[in-house]
Amino acid sequence: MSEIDLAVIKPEMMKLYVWLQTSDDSIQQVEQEIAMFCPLICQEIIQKGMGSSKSCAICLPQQVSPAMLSLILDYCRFHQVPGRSNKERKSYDEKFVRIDTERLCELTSAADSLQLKPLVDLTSRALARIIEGKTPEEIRDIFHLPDDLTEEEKLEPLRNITADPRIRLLNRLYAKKRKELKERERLKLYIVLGLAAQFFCFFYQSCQTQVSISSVASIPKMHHQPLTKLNVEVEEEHVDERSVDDLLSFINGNDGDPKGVKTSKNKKKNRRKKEQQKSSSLKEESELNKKEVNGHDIRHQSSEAERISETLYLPYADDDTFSPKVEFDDGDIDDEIDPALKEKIDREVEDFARRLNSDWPERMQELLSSGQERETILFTTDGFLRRHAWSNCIVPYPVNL
Amino acid sequence: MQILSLVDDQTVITASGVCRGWRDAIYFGLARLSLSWCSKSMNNLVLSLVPKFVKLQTLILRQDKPQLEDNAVETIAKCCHELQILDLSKSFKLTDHSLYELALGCRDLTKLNISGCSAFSDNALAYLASFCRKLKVLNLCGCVRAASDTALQAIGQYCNQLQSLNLGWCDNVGDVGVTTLAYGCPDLRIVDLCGCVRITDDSVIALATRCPHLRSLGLYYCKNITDRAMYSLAHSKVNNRMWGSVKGGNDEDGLRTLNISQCTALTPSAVQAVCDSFPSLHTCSGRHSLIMSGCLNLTSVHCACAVHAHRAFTTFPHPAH
Repeated sequence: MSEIDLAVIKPEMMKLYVWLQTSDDSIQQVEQEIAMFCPLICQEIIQKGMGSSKSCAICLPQQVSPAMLSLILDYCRFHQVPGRSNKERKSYDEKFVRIDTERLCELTSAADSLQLKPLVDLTSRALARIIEGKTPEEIRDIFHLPDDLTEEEKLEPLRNITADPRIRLLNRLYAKKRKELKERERLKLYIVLGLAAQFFCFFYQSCQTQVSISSVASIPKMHHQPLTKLNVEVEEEHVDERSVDDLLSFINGNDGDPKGVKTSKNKKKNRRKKEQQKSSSLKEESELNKKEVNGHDIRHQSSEAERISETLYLPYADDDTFSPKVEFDDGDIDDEIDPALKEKIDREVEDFARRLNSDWPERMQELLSSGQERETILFTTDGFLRRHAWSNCIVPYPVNL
Repeated sequence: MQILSLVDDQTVITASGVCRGWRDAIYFGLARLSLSWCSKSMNNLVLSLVPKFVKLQTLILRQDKPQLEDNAVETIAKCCHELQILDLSKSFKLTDHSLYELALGCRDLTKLNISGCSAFSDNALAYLASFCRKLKVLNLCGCVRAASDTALQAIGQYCNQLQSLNLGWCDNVGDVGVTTLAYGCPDLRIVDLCGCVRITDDSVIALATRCPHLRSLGLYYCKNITDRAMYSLAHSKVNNRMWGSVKGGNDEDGLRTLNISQCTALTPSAVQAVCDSFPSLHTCSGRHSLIMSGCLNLTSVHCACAVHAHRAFTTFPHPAH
């Protein structure tokens, strides 16, 4: 407080104590010298002559509770003493703001309402340190704030703030969520289109009884398996139903895994193990040669049509657009196969694989030179390959007839 | 908002996604934003963020590699009508379209940094000057096409509050432009003419006589400057001191920084006269404000305190200290 302000104070106002009324209507007596460290209280005393008695106590703003007033007065008491060094003051300030976030927020608000700028600066800096580097979810948890933004507002990416890995991670998670939502929508559309295509194909079959359609899209993905296996890997779509918060906690290692850090080290080992397991399970699956799809028996025979269809789509094995994952029901796979028949089929498969591997380079060269035409392949029951008039027509949904 | 003013700009943007209260407080309360930390796709970031921060007064878009394009500046001009400080330095991709948009949308600009924006033309800069009449600080360093006599005449005519102008390496600038500027902007305090090889004594004389508040003058590599310019600077101090006594000006007024490096035509006596006239000009180490590197014939020039240091009988320090 300046000397001019002190000069204005009348002798009758110069009292050792002032009366202050806090937000809960409780009145307490405080040393005037300390209380006047707050500009708001100082103004009330000088300009209005308030606080001289209990009956005309200075009404403090709503934000100032008794607990907060006590903290503020402690701060003022320490900083009022003239002989302290900057180091002492700094040390005190550091300890002073080591309180829980909720109280720190209250203290900031109370100090601001009392216009106590040094304390506002101090608490604001402490809060800024808490906020810095946190995700929106973490900030919400710290300050107990409502999660009132809509999904669209939340999923709206903070575009190109790629300098911060945390935001990049969040954007990736949000993108994944958005992709899942889109996939669900697309799946619904595919089902409708698929039914329409099936009806269309059924109508066409009634005209040409011998021909059955199998579009480019309906040939399943080979998944880089060796040609000897000649099996089709069927994968179910895994949709992550977890919320963004769960995903974040999983990423941050809060999922109860004590080896959270070590997992990345053994990534290659784990991958190798998984691949071995997969290949062994695929060997078992290769026993199931006979598949029944929509009432038609499709056997893995060494027919020319099948050989061409297998090799034709190998170059596109990486491309998801040309190899959608076809989902089969468990009922489609016939487990009960006669052992003798099974042995015969196995022999045929091995024989076919041998032939296929022997002339693979020539066929690959032939494929590359032919420009890798993607045409709809039609199979007849006697195993001959025919090209249909609407060979370039793309069926939007993998339809197996 | 006080808390958010203490955190970095990335945290501010993150905080806007916490809840509606915070989002609205930030969108309508944020006055200063810097996106200089963004090393990739700053353009997209400006396009997505700037329309939300409608109360922006300061926007720093300094770049190491050029990212900003005209559509981003157009967005700024259309959304941030209260903008006062804008830094677009090193935006090589920007064209005149950006300046035209800024002229129409951000008329309250007081500080504009377009250093290194080499694609701007003098017509566009003149157009901007005619609308943004509150400009006080203008950095045109390296804007070779934009900074011409035509543009400077427009600035002198319209931007009468201008206090700082950087024309570094704008070698199209001549005496006509600088003289008009000196007459039109009497409040000029900082003028950097480094590398403006075409200017002569006339420019310096105009600045010395017409800009009484001149504090810093950069004449690096202005090889046409002679003693005549130096004596006019020294003499301007006498005139300004007379005006100062009437207006109550203090003795610390006058040149504090003068860069005459590579001005090889100057003689020691003329430079010493300037040094004696302005006590704030120092040649002594640690307080180097009279820069004369490359002028081998000026080694004898010393400030008053350097002379005092050699005198053993000097009891009192120089008033400049």
